[in-house]
Amino acid sequence: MNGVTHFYVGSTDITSALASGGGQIGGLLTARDQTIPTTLASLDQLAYGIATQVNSVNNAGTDLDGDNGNAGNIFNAPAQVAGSAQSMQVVLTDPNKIAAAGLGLGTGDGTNAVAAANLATQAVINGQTPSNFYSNMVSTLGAAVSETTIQGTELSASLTQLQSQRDSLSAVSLNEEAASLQEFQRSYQAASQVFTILNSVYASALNLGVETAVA
Amino acid sequence: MRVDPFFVTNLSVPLDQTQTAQQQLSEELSSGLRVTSIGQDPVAAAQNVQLLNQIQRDDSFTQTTSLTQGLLQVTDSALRSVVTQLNQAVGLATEANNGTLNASDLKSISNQLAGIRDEVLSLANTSYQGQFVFGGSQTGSTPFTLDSTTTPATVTYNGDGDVNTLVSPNGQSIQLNVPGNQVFASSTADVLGTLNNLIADYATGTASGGVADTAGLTSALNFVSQQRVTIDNSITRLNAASGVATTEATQLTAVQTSLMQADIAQVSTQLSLTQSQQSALISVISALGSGSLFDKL
Repeated sequence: MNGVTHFYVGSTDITSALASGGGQIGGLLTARDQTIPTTLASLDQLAYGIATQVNSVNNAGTDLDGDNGNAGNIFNAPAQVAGSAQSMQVVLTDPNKIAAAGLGLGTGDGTNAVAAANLATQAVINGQTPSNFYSNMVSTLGAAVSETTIQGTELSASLTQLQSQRDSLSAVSLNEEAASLQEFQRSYQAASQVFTILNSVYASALNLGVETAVA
Repeated sequence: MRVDPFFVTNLSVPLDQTQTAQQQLSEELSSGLRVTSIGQDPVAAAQNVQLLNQIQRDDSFTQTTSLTQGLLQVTDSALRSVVTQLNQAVGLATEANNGTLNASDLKSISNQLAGIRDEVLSLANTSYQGQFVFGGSQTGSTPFTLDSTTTPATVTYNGDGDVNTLVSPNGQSIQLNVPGNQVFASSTADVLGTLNNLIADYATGTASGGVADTAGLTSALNFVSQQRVTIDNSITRLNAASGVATTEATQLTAVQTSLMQADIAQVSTQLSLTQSQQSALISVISALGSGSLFDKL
């Protein structure tokens, strides 16, 4: 579905249940279905904004060939935001088609080139400059990676603690084993003593009170 | 005390952790960078993006200034020569206007002024790397053309009044040219028109009209000198802005280095500790694994 693998039990899609269920597969599915698409969407926004704005500026000036307002695109024009980053590429092959001059001005003018350079400091991507947008994206992605790593470490520590707690209840206790061993030894000794006494009683009975006849 | 029945499994977890830490520290040592992935320090990674961006802008501006300095120097040189030529022309005109020269001398001065006019015209059509510097935005075609069929001769300006500017990374706008119609053919200080008038004045062998035109030429000379000041100012501002950009790039690089650089001594110590921990863990696992209940049979 949508180019990604889904998991079914019978006809029931359990992908989201697996993702929210934790564990390794839950983590992988969360990264695939949430974290990576969010980052890709940001990249698409950045690519779409840059491509459309730069193309727009280039088509608002005059190029070296004297084209007024129709110098053409520098980047391939994205039809929609989704997939813009993947499809982004420079389609300009002739440097004469860079419209550096203002509309209708001679080729020596640089007004439109200045306008293109000013895009770097204008809020053209979701109300932010391209540089700030990318910087924030890096920060957000880095924070997600950092948070996940910390969570992983915390869960690992938690697992170790739980295992220790479990072991404190169910694992082999040397004290208990030593006590039991001593108890069993005493029991064995007591049982042996019973046999010794019984042996002595039987001997007395067989010898009719003469203790030395049968030992 | 209870004996952990899963001791090997539990020991493999810290062994994995020490191995990961060892790889991370080795990477920091080999690259010299403290942050080798954005997850290690997201804030530093984001700051690094901004720093790189600003450094690149500074570098681009510095490269551009080295190109435009040549243009401004050629423009300045041309204007300096124009001033020299106009001073000579004013001298000749003053001589012609003093009333002591005969018709033949005045015609000779007219011819000399024509030579100066041609020289000024040539300077007004100065080009730099194939682009005419006084054409405004019309840098691809000769800015001034002379028509000698009329009396006085006429000069046509083929450019426009466009002024180009270079914007520094800090937003400073620096003028890169003075359009030819402003320098050589303005309504208040028409250098070429006044020269043509003087040539026509003295070509007839009389000095009538020469005084007024000489005053006009002097005024034009002063105006050209003022325009030269504009270009000189631009050269000074461009050099200053280039210096600021270079210094800023150096400072930002230093900030970037301190932000991203690994403390080699600290990382080395950590790596040594991690290796000791790893060796100890391996020894423990080895010692525990060597014993078996079957040995007790």
